[in-house]
Amino acid sequence: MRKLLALVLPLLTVVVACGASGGSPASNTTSSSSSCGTPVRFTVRLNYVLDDEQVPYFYALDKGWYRQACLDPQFQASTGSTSTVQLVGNGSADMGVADTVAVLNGLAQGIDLQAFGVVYQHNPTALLIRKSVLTPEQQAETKPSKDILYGKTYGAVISGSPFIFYKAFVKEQNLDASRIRQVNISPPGFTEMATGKVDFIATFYQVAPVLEGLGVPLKIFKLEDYGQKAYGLSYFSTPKWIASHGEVIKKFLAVTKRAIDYTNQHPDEGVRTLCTYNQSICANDTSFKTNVEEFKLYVPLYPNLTPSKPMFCINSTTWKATARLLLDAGVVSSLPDLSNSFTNRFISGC
Amino acid sequence: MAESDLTMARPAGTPTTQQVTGVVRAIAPAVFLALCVVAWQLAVLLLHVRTFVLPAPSVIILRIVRSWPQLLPNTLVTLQETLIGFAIGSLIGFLLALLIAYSSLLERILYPLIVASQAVPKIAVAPLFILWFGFGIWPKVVVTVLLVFFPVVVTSAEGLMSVDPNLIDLLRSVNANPWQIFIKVRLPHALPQVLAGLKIGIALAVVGAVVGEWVGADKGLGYLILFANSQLDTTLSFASITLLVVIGVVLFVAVDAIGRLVTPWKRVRTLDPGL
Repeated sequence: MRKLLALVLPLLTVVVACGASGGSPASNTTSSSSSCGTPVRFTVRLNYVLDDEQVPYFYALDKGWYRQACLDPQFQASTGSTSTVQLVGNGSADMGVADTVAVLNGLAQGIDLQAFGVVYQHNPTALLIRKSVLTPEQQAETKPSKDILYGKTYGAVISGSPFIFYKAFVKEQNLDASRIRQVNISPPGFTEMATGKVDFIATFYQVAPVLEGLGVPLKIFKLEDYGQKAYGLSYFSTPKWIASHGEVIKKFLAVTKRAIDYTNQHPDEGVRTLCTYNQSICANDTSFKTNVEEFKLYVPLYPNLTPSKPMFCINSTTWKATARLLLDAGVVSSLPDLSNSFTNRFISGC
Repeated sequence: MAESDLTMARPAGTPTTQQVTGVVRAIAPAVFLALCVVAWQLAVLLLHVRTFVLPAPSVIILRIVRSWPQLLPNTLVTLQETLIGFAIGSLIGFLLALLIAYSSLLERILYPLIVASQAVPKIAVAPLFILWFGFGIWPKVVVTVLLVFFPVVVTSAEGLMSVDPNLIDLLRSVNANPWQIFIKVRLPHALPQVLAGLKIGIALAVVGAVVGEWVGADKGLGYLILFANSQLDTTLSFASITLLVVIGVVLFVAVDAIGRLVTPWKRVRTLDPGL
């Protein structure tokens, strides 16, 4: 009996010890977390409020993917890309996500910034026009003539980047701006559209399902279809922060890419995760479905304009074309120095 | 020593104490303002504050001069909204004050509503005014009226109700009618308070015009501030703010000057007779 106990007791001790430390994947995560030390905490100022654009970040956050990469990003909502640029520029946030035109405008105004990835490789801006102000023939056209804007009222959200895209579009297409009535409205302009106070707005076309859900049938002019090639959102920071956080940026881009790829394939799951952070998205079944429809419209924005290039890579031709919008829109009188305005060094294969 | 001896001792042309005090009082505000501006300029230079965070006064002044063709028409738009809103708000405020002063029942009914109206944030209801009144000047005027009428109604009502009842009884005893009592006693008595309300109201009128322009305008200094902020043009934003300050100060001084004209019997005395 004593010999039996002498054999069994050590074995029992080993079994109990293994159970205490755990044999499940969660403990592997814990042990791998403890091996990378304390995750690096940094602030990421988003371009707007928490909505469908932010699904990949919060999905990755929720699944612990950033933490597994030893990152602890603090995502913060914003009131718009311009505000994000200001906050990153004055050091109140470590990095930001903002419309590329806002980043470039910041550079033109002397703010020291550098982009390290473009999220939306395609121009997401469109003019959303109420079908009720168009003739049946105009409604039926696949690519309506741009002068159908004449005599219409444009609801301008002047604090937003789509306003810059619109002004550049007017210039590029040689439209007579005096024949289009412009009134300033609060973002996002849905109430003014729904009540017929304005005839069209310039915004991301992804929000069209939301407006149509409010009972406003729309005709959508994607500005890219009229030759306005420009980047949408970019990741950026100050050169000083980028120089000291290269590894953080590489890992952040890698995890975010993984999240974008996953949620693009599983939109329902992605949007449902965001509900934890913004309950109005799942306020009811209709709201959830509308948000999923909106989210799916962001998917085509991610693939690189050059199919052989990976996600986030910045092409200098398109970068310069985006900068030119500032000139066309009359925002700047001359282009900023673009020589160090972006870097691809954190993305392999660019 | 006799006073005449003292007087004879002062050299000819030497200013009196009163004259010196008068000069100091006249230039003190300007000197203080100049010191603040200099301190601001030095702070921006020495602390290397970037223009998009806080432009220096010299940069702002240069911008006002350079962008004057853009700033002037927008200034006139805001001025127009301010004056119209102030006029209507003051009239409504005074009429409400009359109702409150002459009827305790109306006072009990109206006062809570008037106070409640001030708790509503104007920036939140401004978009609704666009829906109700469209995109013209009227939504901005309505916001201005909402801000202006409150100080006018409160101060005017207090002034009208604070007349010595013995004076009213005296006039009644000589068969004065209500209109005569109003013109001879209540109104002159209430004028200083009415004017105090108007001075507060004119400053708020500028704020109201700007708030109204933030939603639904395509002209005006408020619109220009919003536009400048969206373009990261902090200098233009500050240039617009500077002009708003100038408008506010000039209008305040104008109302104060009119007040002094219509109430010559009333003089404000400071607690410190020395300065």
